[in-house]
Amino acid sequence: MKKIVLLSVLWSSIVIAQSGTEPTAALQNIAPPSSPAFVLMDITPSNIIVPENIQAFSLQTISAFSGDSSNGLSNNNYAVEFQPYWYVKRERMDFFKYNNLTTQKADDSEVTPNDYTGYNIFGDVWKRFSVSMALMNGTFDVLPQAQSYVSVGARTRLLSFKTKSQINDIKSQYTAYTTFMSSPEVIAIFAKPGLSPSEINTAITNLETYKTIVTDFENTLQRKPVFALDVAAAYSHFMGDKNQDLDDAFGRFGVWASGDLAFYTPTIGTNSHVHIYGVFRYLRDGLNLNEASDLFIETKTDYGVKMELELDKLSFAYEYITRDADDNNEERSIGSIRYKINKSFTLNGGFGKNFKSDGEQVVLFGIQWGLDYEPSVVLGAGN
Amino acid sequence: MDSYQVGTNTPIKLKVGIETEAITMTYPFLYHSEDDDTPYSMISPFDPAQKPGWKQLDNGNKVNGKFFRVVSFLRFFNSFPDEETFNLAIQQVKDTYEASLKGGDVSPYMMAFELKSFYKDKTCVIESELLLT
Repeated sequence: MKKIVLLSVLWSSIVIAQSGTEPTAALQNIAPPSSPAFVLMDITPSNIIVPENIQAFSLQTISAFSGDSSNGLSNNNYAVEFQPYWYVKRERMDFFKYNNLTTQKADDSEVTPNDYTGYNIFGDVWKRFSVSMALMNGTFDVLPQAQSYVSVGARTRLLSFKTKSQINDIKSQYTAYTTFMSSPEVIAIFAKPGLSPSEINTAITNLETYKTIVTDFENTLQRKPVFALDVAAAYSHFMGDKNQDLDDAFGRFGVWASGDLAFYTPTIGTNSHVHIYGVFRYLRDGLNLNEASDLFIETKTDYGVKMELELDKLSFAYEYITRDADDNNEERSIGSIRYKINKSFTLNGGFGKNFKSDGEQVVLFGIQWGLDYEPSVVLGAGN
Repeated sequence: MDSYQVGTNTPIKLKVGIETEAITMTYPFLYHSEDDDTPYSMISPFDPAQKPGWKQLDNGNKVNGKFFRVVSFLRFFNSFPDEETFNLAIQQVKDTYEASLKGGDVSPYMMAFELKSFYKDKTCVIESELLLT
C-alpha cells in the first residue's frame, strides 16, 4: 500500500511537471527507452532488454529521478538509436526470408509454402541490429553533483527458435491469404481500370474476409519465438568535472545477454505470453569513488532471472539480478509495470531495490517517449 | 500512355521482380482497348517472390493493339514502429520493383509504374499500363 501511495505521488508529480509544456498534439510512437546506452547506467525500468520493433531512427528521452531532475522532465538524458537494416538494400528479400523461413530450392525457381522446410535461427541478427548513443546527466549514485556522460551501445537478437507448429501456422496463413487474394471477389476489384490506387486499397481493405484473414495472420506472426537470445554491449565515458578536479575518465563498459523462454497463453489473451528470462552481464565499472574521492575501476558480473506476464496491453514483471563485484555483492530486485494506453502511448514504471541503494526505494516511474523525425510532443507556441 | 511495339514477336511474356518484406500479389490484365471496363484475358494472380519466371500473355496468342495493365498489391505483416520506418520499406519497393515485357529475342522492356502506399493499412498499390502496338 505504501508503495502504491508513493507511486501515485510520483506519478502526480510527473503529470504536474509536464503540464507546463502544454502538449498540443497527440503523443505518437512512444517507445520505452531501452537502448543499451541507457540500460548501462541502470536508469531504465528493466535491466533486461529485448530489441522489439525498434524505430529505424529515434531520439529517446528519459525522466529518471536518479538523474539531475532539478528541472523536472527536461533533464538531460537523451539517446539516439539507429537501425541500419532499413537504410541498406535487403538483397533477395521476401516475406518468408524476412520471417526466417528457408528453402533448399535454388534462387529464381518456383516455390510453394511447403518448400520452406528450414528456419534460420540467426535470421534476426542483422534485422534487429541497432546502435545507440546517449548523452546523460545525473549523479547515478556516484558523485554528489550531477555529471555528464556520453555512451555508445549496440544490440541485436543473436538467436531465435520457432516451433514446427509456429512455422506451419505461418505457411498455412500465407496460403489462406494468397488464396483469398486470388478469389473472383478480389480479382473483380483489381480488374476495374477506372479505380485509383486509393480506391483499390479502400475496396480491398474494407472486405470483411480480408480483415479476418489479416488479423489472424498478424496474430500468428506476433507469437514470440519459443526461445530468443538477445545480446548488447555499451560503453559510457565520464566527461569529467573541473569544479571537483576530476578529469574525463573511463566510465562503464558492459556486455550482456538475455535469453527469453516464451510460452504462448492464448487462454489469457490473444497475444498473451508468459516469459522466463535469464540474464548475464559483465560490467567494468569506472564510476566508483574511494575514500580519497578518486574514481577507480571495479569489475562486476551480473546474473539473474525475470518473470513476465505479458497481456495484450498490460504486462507485469519482476526481475532479480545479483551482482558479483570485486569488494562486495549487490542485488537489484525490481518489479515493473507497462501499460499500453493506446497504439501510441505507453506508461512504464519500476519500483524496488536497485544496485547501490540503501533499503527499498523507488528507482523509476514516469513517461518515456521516443522523438522521431518529428517530435512526439509538440509544444504550444508560447513555449 | 507508354506503348510497346509487339511486331511479329510472339509470345509476349511478363516478368515481375521485387525485393520486399511484404507479400506481393500481382494481377495482369489484357483489355481490347483502354476504355474497356472488363478484361478479356488475365494471368492468374501470383506472388512474384514465389513465381519469379516469365509468364505468357493470353496463353501465347497475339496481343497486338491491346491494352495491358499490371496491378500489384503489397501487404506488410511486420510491425512498423512509425511511418518513417514504413517509408524506408516502401523506398526499397520503389528501388526494386520491375515489371518487364519481352517477345522473341528482343530485350525486355521495363514498364513504368505508379506507386501509392498506405501506412495505416500497411499496404501499397503499384500500377503499370501499356499500349501493345
